[in-house]
Amino acid sequence: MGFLRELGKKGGEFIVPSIMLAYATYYYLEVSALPRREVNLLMIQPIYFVILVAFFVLVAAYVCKSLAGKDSHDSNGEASERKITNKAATLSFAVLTVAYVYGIEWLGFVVSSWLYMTLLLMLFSVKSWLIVAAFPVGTALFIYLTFDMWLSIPLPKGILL
Amino acid sequence: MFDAAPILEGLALLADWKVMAVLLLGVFFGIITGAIPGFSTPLAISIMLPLTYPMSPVLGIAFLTAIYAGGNFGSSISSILLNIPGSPQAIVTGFDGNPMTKQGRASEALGMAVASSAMGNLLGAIFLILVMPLIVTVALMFGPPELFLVGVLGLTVIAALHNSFLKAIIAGGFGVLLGTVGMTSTGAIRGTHGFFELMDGIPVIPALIGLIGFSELFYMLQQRYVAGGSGRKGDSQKNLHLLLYGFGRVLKHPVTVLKSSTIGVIIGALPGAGATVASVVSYNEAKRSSRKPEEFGQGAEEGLISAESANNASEGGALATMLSLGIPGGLATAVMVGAFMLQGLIPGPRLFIDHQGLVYGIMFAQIVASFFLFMAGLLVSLYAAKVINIPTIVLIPLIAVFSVAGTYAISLQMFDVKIMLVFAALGILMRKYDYPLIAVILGIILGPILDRQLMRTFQGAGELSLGIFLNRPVSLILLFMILICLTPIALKIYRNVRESLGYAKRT
Amino acid sequence: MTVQPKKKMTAKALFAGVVLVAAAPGMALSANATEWPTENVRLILPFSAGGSIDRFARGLTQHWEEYHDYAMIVDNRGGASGLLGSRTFLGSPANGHYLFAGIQPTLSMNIVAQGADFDLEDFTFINIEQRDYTSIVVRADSPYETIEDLVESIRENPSDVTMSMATGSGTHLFGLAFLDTLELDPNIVTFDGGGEQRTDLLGGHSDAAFSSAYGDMTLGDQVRVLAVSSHETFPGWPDAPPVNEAFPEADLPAIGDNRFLAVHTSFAEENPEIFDAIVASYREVFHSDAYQAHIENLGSDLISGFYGPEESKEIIYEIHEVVERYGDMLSGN
Repeated sequence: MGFLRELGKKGGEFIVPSIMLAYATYYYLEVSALPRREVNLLMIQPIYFVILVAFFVLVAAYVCKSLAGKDSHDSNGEASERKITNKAATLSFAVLTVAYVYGIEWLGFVVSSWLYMTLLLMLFSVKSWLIVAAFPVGTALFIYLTFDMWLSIPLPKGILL
Repeated sequence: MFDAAPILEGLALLADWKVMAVLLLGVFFGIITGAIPGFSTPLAISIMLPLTYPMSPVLGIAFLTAIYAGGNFGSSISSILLNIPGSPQAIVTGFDGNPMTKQGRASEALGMAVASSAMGNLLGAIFLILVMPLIVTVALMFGPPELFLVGVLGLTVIAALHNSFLKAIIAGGFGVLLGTVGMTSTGAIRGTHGFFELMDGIPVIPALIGLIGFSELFYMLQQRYVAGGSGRKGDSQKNLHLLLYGFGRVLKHPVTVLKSSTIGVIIGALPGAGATVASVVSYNEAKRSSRKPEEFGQGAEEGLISAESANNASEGGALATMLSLGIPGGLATAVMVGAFMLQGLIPGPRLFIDHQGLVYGIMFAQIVASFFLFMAGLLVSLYAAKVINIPTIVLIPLIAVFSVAGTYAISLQMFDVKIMLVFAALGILMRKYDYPLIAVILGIILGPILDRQLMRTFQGAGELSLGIFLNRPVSLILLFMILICLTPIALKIYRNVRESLGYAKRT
Repeated sequence: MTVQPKKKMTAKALFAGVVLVAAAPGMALSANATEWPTENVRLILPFSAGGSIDRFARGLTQHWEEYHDYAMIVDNRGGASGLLGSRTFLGSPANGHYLFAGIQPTLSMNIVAQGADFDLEDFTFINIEQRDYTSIVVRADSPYETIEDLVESIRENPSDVTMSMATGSGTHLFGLAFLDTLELDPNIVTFDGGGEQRTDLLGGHSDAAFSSAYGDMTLGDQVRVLAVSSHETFPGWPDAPPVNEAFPEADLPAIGDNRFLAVHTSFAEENPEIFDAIVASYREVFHSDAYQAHIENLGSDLISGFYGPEESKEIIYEIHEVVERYGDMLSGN
């Protein structure tokens, strides 16, 4: 029972390679269906094969280790130092960022950037009112002046700027 | 072979204060834009292209090449300090540069980067002047099979990127597959899911910024300061001291600098390869021939030096091919070819015959640019090092917004920004489970080279066999080099397997 | 992407602008006003800075700007062999102030081989300014002295001869037509751009190439052109016979890269007078001494000409038919 629960918890280990293998398989099949396979798959075939083999070896090694009862923590020092501790802030950052990117096409770059930065600063509980007010405005304007005015790179303009 | 008259003419062209001004400005602009995540060097050059129209040929070209040189160094600044490469060629610099920052050696790292960049640039320029015809002859010997092998050589770096060889392989393989997306030169459209924007492949810069840059921001969120420090304000004197110390350290590794610059020049001259591949191959070689390879990736000086000098030296190689054959090696040199044509000059064999003085002038300008790069680099680094003292709550929104703006500016498409987000999500996932991000990016960069050159090898011979590679001298040399690079990896795997089997037996 | 610096508006232009804005409803797009332009003009180029069409567009706009009070800005929107920029153009306002500079048959290839969601009818052509042709070229030290030599060699040992093509360009299309019509089957190596193709040829990794006749001139005596696709001798390569002279039975169309200017068809149809004004303005610039001197300086006078809207359209549609004929091969089949 404990072993199964352990396996389930550590199963998360396989999210990344599974996603990669799954997409690789889908891609491989899609390209195989195109005419002139032999030309299109020159590189894709061997690489896919390598990924497949590596995946299975990874699974096999993990299973062997678990069966052998060895404590299979394989995070090296670096990984344990970099954990996401502040889950709430991280999630909010992610949500805000996605909203920002989609917001740009609607509200325009300058306004969206200003809103995004202001909300972020508030999220980070920045104490100084001055910074929350001035910093986003300053940055958004700076980018507008540099990109749009000076370098003539038109930034997206939605209903606002 | 060396005619005195055009050489003197070339030198005379430089005696103009405007040329000096333009070189200095170009270098500064290149460094500063390079340091901004999202602002890639080809973008910077193409933005400045219109400003070169009213300039005389030597002014215009010198300006653009100075930006290119500055950008090669500038992108290392954010790579070293923030672990967010400003451009792909700075990725490898960060392998050792960022660990050094984390160890509190940021200024030293920057100092080393400045010195290596400047020296690499200088050596590249010297090679350019002395042996341009030779560089070009060597470059021309690289046909599709050889270029494919260069790609493979770059791939071997991936294998050594991580403690878990398997994880690196999977991530790298995935990256290579992503690199094959797009429309091939035979007209087949692979993996675009109907998006026209993906026909040229997955755009590297948005993928890079998303995968490495944006995901880094999520981890920055967890700390108050970038290097985990306390934000003590370092004093300028001390910073300068450390920067110069870094410079001194570079002088202690002359062989590394020389070797990396040579590799950089040759790879820079190859069409389709570029500063990034140059830095990868050079790093790999430095690691292989080092006495302490296990230090690479933890803040080894030689690692940083080899990467930085190679990517700056590659400019010399790219210029060689461009000036003598009129063939651009990459986006940056393509814009420069355009700049020439607008001046009414056509780069190519005729240019050297008709305007020899000008060509020499441009080459000498590179030498001057190297010195300016050194000075400007030191100046910018003095202030840049202070960035790590800025609290992350201020840095994060700033970098986020600039990354979005810079990513958008590349092709004026919000699509690129969305790609950036997708890769950011992948990046966070990969970091959580400790998969090497760099492997994916290197795969995306090398994928096209590998796929296209292998396809052309196949097309040229009607089939694919080892014999093709064994029949060509340059291929043989490259195969040999690949074997040499793979040997330490193979040994390591062998040892690991023996160890775990032995362990299993004992339990 | 790059743009040119905006010019300052003169008082006269400002006044005219105010008047026009005041009378705006119905005026800007109506058939009454034949004044063009009435604001800054953007020339959308579906290719990145530095290529041959970029040079052409910048040279043209620099001279054209002198003929009226507004700025003409080149907007590079490269990607997907011109497909992305073409879509951007078609998505821009069809008010006569957005122009398009494109390449045929690349445009047709976008439609036929890449499944673009637009049609040739969406564009109304002003002029094909540059007509480049395809050259069949070998390295100067090659054993092939004439085109007949090459063809014979291919017929005898097809798998021993390697020819290169740059996909997405007119030279590619000509190459396909040439090989198909003469029933030749050498090894074909494909490249994404002319630059890589040339390095490959100069390095001796391919035996011959289908390349741009004008573009090859920069390589001078490092190469030998065996034949050209034009129906008459190409001035830049006087010793190279037109392909149809060497193989009269082939009767191949004279294909290469054609660089043209166009506007939105929707605009041209609703405002024929303004369209005529645009064409007339362009013709004036093209024939001006300054511009002719400029293209002579660049050497592109060899391939430049004024054919006008009607003839340009004919040529473009003719080439489109050839693209359709080879549609399968172009899509990688």
